[in-house]
Amino acid sequence: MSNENNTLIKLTNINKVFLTDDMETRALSGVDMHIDNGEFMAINGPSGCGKSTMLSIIGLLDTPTSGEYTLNGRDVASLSASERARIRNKEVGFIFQSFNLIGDLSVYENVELPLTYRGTKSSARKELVMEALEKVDMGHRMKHMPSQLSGGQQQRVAVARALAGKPQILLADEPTGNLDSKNGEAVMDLLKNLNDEGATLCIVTHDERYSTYATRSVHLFDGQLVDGDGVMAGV
Amino acid sequence: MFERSRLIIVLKALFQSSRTEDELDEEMRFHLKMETEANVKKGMDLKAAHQAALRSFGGIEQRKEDCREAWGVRVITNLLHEFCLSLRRLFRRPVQNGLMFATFAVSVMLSTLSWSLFHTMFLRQPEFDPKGEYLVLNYVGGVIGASRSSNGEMEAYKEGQKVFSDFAEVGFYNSPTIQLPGGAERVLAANLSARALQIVGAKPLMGRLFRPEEDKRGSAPVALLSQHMWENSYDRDPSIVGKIMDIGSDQVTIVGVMPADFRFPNDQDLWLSYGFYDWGPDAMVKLKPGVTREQAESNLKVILDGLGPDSPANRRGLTPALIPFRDYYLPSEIRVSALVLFALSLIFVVVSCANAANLMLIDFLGRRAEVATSLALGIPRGASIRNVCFQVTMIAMGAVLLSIALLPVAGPFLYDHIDVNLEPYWLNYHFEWHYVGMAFALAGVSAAVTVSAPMVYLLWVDPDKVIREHAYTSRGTGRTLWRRLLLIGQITLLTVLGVSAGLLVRSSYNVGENTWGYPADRVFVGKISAREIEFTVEEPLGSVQRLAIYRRVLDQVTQRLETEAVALAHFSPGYSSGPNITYALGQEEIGEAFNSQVTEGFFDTLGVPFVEGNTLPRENPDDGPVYGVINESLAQKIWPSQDPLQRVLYIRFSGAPASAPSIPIVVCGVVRDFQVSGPVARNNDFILTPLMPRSFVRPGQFIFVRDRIGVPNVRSIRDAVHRADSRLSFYFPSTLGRVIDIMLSSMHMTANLTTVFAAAAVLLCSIGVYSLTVTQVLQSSREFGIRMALGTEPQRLWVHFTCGHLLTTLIGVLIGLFGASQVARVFSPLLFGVDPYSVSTYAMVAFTILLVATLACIPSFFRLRRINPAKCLRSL
Amino acid sequence: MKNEKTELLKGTLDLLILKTISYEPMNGWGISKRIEQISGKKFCVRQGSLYPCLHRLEAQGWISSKWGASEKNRKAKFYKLTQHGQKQLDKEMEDWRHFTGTVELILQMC
Repeated sequence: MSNENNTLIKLTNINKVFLTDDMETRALSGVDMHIDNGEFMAINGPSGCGKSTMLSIIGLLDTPTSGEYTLNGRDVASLSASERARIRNKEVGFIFQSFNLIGDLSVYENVELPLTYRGTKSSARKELVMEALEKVDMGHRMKHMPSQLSGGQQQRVAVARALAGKPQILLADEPTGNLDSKNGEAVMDLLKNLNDEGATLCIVTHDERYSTYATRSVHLFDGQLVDGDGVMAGV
Repeated sequence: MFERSRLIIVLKALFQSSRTEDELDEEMRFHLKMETEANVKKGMDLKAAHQAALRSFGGIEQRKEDCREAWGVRVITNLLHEFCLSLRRLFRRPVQNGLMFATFAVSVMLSTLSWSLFHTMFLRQPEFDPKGEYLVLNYVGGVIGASRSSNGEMEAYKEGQKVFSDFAEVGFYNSPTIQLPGGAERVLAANLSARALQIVGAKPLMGRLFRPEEDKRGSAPVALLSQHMWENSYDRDPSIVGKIMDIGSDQVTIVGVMPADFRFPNDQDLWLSYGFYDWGPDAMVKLKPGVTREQAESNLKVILDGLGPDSPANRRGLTPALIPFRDYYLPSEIRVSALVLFALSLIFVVVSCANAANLMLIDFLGRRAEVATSLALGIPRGASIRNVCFQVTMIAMGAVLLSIALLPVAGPFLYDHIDVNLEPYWLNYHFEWHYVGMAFALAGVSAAVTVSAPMVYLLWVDPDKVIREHAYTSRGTGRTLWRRLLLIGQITLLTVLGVSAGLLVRSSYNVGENTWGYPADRVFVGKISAREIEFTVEEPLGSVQRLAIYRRVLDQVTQRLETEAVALAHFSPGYSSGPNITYALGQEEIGEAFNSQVTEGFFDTLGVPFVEGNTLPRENPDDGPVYGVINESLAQKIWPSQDPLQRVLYIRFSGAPASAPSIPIVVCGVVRDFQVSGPVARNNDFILTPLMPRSFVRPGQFIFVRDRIGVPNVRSIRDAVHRADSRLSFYFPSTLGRVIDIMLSSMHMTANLTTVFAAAAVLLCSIGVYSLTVTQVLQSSREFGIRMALGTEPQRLWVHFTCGHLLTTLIGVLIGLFGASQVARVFSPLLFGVDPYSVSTYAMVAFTILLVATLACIPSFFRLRRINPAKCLRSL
Repeated sequence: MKNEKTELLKGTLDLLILKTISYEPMNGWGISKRIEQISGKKFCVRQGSLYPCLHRLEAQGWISSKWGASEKNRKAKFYKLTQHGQKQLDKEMEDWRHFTGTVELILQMC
């Protein structure tokens, strides 16, 4: 199996249409995009431009109405829901705006969660979890409950959770949205460090400041890419 | 072959996991080493060769995982891990899971107990007849009182029957006074034929069993002692066999001692030979194969008819009947109550299932974001469903274990409160394994119902949509409508249950002494019997003699005791079974009433006041009219707004031959109504007549004594009775209150159980209401946060919330009250002395529920204070 | 970079493995080299995917494994065909011949 041009993700002519009541909303129209291994991609745009829809599609949470999507050389647009779940579990790491840590699980258990369903041995799991927690500098808090942590710490745990499974790509949806600027920057620094160590990242943000952390950024406006590094926007 | 190889691999991976893992690792390292060496041979340097090997291999961890997947072990290890995870999470939500546990425990406990009761009353067979093959031959129908066969009839049945393969005469109950080394004692005995002992598999500890020739009347009486009596009364006399004991004027030879585990038909002290029995025997019979009970009964009826109209049973209008042992001991009302309760408890299980499912679903919806996160992280839906299943299963199993652990305490407690009269030992509570089975089955069903709601949700939920909702919209404000509806539903149910229970409980306590119309606890009652007196004189002279003896008893008691009043009657309230006469003014019969002969002091003794007229004459002349005392309602019924005194009505005994003339009665007094018949009897009209020689004076009367001090001394009454005639025996000393209590046992059983069930229902519904309230606060915390941020004080917010909540509750209560009135109308025939629309009960229940609802709001106050408005705004 | 080697058809890897070890027990690395060698390096077995395949076949009871010494006296895991596997191999070979024959027929006729 070969990966052409080291491309991890390739989106071709992606369209997404939401049917709500009797209205048809075009969230994405004809988006072409690719993400290479080791890249730090930022998708910018104002609220409601379709960024999150885009990320949902990249993260296999949602399927495009039409278009082609290859992940790691494999066509994933037409997979069944459970197959998509498996890929999400193994190859994609999610970081949410509102952290979405599970309240009645400890920090350790939260990070362990995605590994639980892989059949990894508990000793091996522990190694992976500790490694991820050390990376985000939260190893000393593993017995805490999420409610005992500050927002920034919670988001770091969420990053560790995304990292623990050694995914091919980390997806972050407004990872700084619920944080003050100091904590926001800390999280972005963390992501940048991860990228330097070789992780592939794709973040969605409406905050231009954070785009500078990325190696490449694209701009989404009304469901279309308007500029970006060598990506044609279908204006 | 196929499956074996897989099984070996799975087992190896499970139980030698580290070795299997090491081997896997070694195998792959070997491959990499070889590949690296090959690369080096091609001319690469070592590092590049190693990296090239790694590249072409493609991710050791991933491959290892693929291998593990190929073994098929993943499923099992995953399940184990998920199970541990669920177990840990169980304790992280103590309130919700605790409530669910309580719900399950209460419903499983109650329904297991009801099942036990149901089983005991409908399915359990006596230990001496585990297959339930034997029936008791007895009589049903007839006028009043004893439905016992006579010895002659029993012989005729035994000789003439063609339907039984086994026939053994027995006298199940006998209570003789015997002379023991330590003095005279009244003991519990039974008379058994030789065959009966054989059927129940008796083996003597010493001596022998009865012989068939000892079944014959007139044969020398013999006895078997219980081990208990042999040890306690005869000091383990080793030469007991062959000794003589005195029973009355008879000399009975002791032929053996029975071991302690011989208990037939109950815990008897003594067994006597059947030949020494004349009180109305029963028989244990076994039907021939293919013969039905009905066929056998009609065969017996034919034999009875052949005995002519003068046989005792025909005179009393009795019909032979074959009754299973269990039914012989259990009154049918109690059995009906048990059935109703069992059905009720099943409904109860359904209600508690709905309750638990509510809790589960509400909790689940509260965790939508979390569920969505799990799904987004690629955790399979199956895992989330399993998590819920594990949780509920563990809670349910915990509830079952608790119920089973409590059974040894709760079982006897329940059975004690049922108060089954004369209950034999094998109808007491004892543990059986199927109780456990039933508990598990009920908990299983409950758990299945409970998980179904979140399961459906999980199968249909769209993770993306939920994530989106959670992240981008404020929630928890618009979705309160259905929660309100749920609350209203719960409150409605609670109200209906509460009112029904309240009415039933009030009704059952109403059937206490107060509605009997006299202070029953102060009236002493005992029975004096003339069984031992030799009444050889022909009627009516016998009646004259008896009357004289009874008069002497009354005089003696009055002289020797500080009595307020004393009376004799052939019946006692609580022992009579309803109307036994019809009354008429002219030719036409008007209605039914109860009649008995009583002495003139009867009304005084019971404390029933006269409305008009006087009591019965002390001596009603045989040639004059017969006087009678009737009750107020009857007087109103027959002669509305007229003076009933000195008027004449005609009575006729039910079941008397048509040729018999009706008896004219002259009304001499009218008394206040009282419960003359059984507690559930609707018809309490009576016409009481004096004890007079002209009508048959029965051998055996109840004596009623009301003492000036309180309950009189049993000993002094016994002395007085013996002084009147030393041959009279005096027994069953009690108070009327106690007699009535026994009579009321089935009513009380219903009441007690209803109380237990009502309490449990209130508990369950309160849990439901509480959880709904708290969840509502939790769900609306964001809304509250915003309101607080906008400047509302928490106190005002709470008042606002509580008012809204109480309004919802009120709506529920109103609907519930309406529903309850409809339900009460349905079961109003079961109510006694309570208006089905009793305002006080309804108001009480409504008040209690509103109180519970208010109390349920209190914890939410503290939750409200803990809401941080800033946080809510930030997460908007 | 276009790869010269042909990707194996889905499912044929099982057949090749079974056939390769039908002559003598072999270890994983040996199997991959043998397939490459005989095919004149036309076929590339992605080495990583060989092992899950071997483990699956073992779980199905078609092959069995034993630790032994390799030619350089290293400890290695050797796989050998079971009786059941022999039957499966015969069946799969039959199927394969039937399949290729049919394809060939279509190619010639059309």
